[in-house]
Amino acid sequence: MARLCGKWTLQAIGNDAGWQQRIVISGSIAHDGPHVMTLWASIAHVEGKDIDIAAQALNPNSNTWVNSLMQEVMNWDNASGLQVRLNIDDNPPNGDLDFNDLVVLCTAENEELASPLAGPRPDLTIPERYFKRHR
Amino acid sequence: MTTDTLNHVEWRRFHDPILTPIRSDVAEVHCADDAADIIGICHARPATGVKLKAAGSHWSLSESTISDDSALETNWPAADVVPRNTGLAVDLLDLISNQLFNFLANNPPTAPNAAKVDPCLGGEDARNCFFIHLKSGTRVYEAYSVMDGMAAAPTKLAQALNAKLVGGPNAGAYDGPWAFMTLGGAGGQTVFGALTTGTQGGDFRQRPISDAVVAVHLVTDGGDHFWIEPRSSPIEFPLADDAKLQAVYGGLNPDVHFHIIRDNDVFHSVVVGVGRFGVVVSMVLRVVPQYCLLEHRRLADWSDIKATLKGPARHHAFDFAFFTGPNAVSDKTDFDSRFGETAATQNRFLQIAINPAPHLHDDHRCGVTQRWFHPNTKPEAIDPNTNELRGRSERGTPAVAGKTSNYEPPDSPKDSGSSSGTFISRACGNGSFLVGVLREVLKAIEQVIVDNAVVAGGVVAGAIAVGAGSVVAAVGASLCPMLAAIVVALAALAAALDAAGDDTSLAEAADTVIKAIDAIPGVPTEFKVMLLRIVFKQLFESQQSNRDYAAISYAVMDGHDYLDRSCFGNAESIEIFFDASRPDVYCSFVDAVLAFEAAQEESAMQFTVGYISLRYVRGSRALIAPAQFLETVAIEISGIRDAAGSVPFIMNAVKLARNPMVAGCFHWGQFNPLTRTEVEKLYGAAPALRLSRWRNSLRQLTKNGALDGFSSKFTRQVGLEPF
Repeated sequence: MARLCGKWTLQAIGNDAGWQQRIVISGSIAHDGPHVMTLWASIAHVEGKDIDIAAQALNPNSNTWVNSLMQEVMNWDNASGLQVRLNIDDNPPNGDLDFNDLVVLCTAENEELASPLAGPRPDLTIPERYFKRHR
Repeated sequence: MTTDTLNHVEWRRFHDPILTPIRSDVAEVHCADDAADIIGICHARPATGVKLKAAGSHWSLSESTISDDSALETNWPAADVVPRNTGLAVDLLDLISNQLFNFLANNPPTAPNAAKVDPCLGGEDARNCFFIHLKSGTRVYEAYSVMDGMAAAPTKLAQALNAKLVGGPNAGAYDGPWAFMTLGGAGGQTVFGALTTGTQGGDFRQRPISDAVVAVHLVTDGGDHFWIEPRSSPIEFPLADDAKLQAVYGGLNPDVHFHIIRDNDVFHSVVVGVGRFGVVVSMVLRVVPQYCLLEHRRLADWSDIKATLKGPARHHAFDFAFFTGPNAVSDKTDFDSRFGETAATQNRFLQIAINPAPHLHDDHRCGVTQRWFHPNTKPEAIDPNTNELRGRSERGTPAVAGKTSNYEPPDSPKDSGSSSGTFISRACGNGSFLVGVLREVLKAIEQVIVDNAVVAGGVVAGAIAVGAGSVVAAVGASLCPMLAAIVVALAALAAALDAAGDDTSLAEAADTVIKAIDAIPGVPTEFKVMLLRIVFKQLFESQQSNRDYAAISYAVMDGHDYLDRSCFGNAESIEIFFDASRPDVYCSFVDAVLAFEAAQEESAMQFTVGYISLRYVRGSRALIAPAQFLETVAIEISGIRDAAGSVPFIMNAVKLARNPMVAGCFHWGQFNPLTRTEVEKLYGAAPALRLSRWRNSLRQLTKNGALDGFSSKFTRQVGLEPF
């Protein structure tokens, strides 16, 4: 289970599983409940003070949703801001522990956690033609 | 036994602006140098109704030492004539339990010059150590100086223990000298002030300074006083004997009560108590035989360091000597030949200092500093001129302790930077060497004009990446005249700074450079940002250049320049603590802080004069120590207010650290804006329930909160109240 605070966009950036994948959101203002996550599926403006995100996969044999394992990794991206990546491995304890069955990238929408470097920046580089490798 | 009460005086902290004291008129400032005096002052307090707060050297940047009303000073810094509660307290021979005395007599320490292994890493029990009883107003540099001189002036306890060893192989084992196991980066604060706010060094195999305390003598509101020890600790024996304690302290004041408490929660609450429990008059610390440290520093890039920190070994990837760059192999060979087997052993200290201004593709220069124990008898530890341990005569004798600039190894380049984590002192230090940096940059730009190109490996190419270069390209044929104008401006600037000489601090000089470059006519702003980034990179590298040296422990750990006075009123600093097992979190925080700096440079040409530093420490036993994780990283962000970019840079870091996604723990002794709710979230979580246990202890010692004399605006803000 991951916990987020603020306003976020959630997007499935990896899905390498035989079972159908979904996340279950709770504690949000308007997005509580299950959301099936196919590759590139996106949920915008998920907002709340204590948003909990769990991951589940549909066991086709029993036709039940089974809680998955989740690893949470934070990262800062100068182009966007704070990101939390949720690496998910389904079917515990029989999973392969490669944590790529579903990968959800959560990107902060709040101004406070957005990158001040997002958007166009001045080109502070030297043109190749002014650069000499050996004197 | 003396007391002195000052009336209607200004009360300022060490770093407050000289013209605007934090409190302009304090009706009563009590100064005292003895337990009985302090008991008397606290006994009288409830009847007056005014609040009281103990303060030491006023080093703290936080509001934790600021009283609502009166002050009780243990080391009043504003005048020399008042009493100060400093130096050694009651000799421990008059207090020590028989069990501990006998254990010490039967387990003598290794003599300092015979030590082959680090005395700080041998465990926390009563072996290979000694105990000193210090008055709480003793500054860190006074304490290490006293301990280092104990061979000439042994305590009665040391003499009694030595008497047991006469004629045996360990004769004289308790002669000392003795040393702290760890220190923060500066020694100007009182020992108790440092530890009670949670100060730590970068010795990641050790706990913070507070964990070296084994007993405290506390006076509470109303004058009742307590000898407090933990019920269980690695020492295994009671430190003091109850009858001896009663004999020494029981009769100090007939109107109050004296109690002996042996309780883990009470002890671990009072030690990091942020002044809320009352006045700690004295404390007993576990110290070790004096030792030397070898310091090794190399320049690197944050992108590489960050990738390593995020790897499987995390910061332990730096457990062995770090070398980098194209000459890493030969560099290591040279190091090995100079320091022998050291590089193959695990270090004890890690600090990563980061330049806020970027270079190349949003990268940042880093100084990676590591330290090892170094035997006192090895040649590198000995000053060939005096035959003394290096740094002792420069930093440790009573004549020089707290009165000199930081120890500069004789074989280091001049002004190669502080040996400590307290970069602020370097940033405040003399700025004349910035002239050298400017002339270096100037020369590099002249070469660009001559070559009509930037040459690989040079100063400019090291700072500015090759790319589309649209800003430079747009200048076109005007490029060389523009560069010539920059050269003229830099030359004039260097000459002006040269003329200002030693009176200009680095911060002032850097700010002058920013303003002067901004004023060069006809140069696009982007060009000026590029130019300043070259200057700031050179500046950082000059301060964190490669360096190896060995010296006595305190000369390495205390890097403060005590001669510098230019930082009064200039420094802003925060220190945020994170779980070191989550490099993804703390590296994201650092990256976010760095992004702000890049953005303010690019959008407003505002630069920070300061540093970010990462230091690692083991978790503390103290209940509300900010180093609360099994392994903690402390991220210090410091800047000088003189530079326009510094305050926005630090305030943005504060905002980020308080975001619930980041949730950093703020140092109690530096700027700490947390609210009660935030503190409860940070320290109150199950299963440890640290804050509620701390509050239980406070209730126990304040008659369930009724004695509130040491409550203050700050303790109410952060929720350090009994509730």
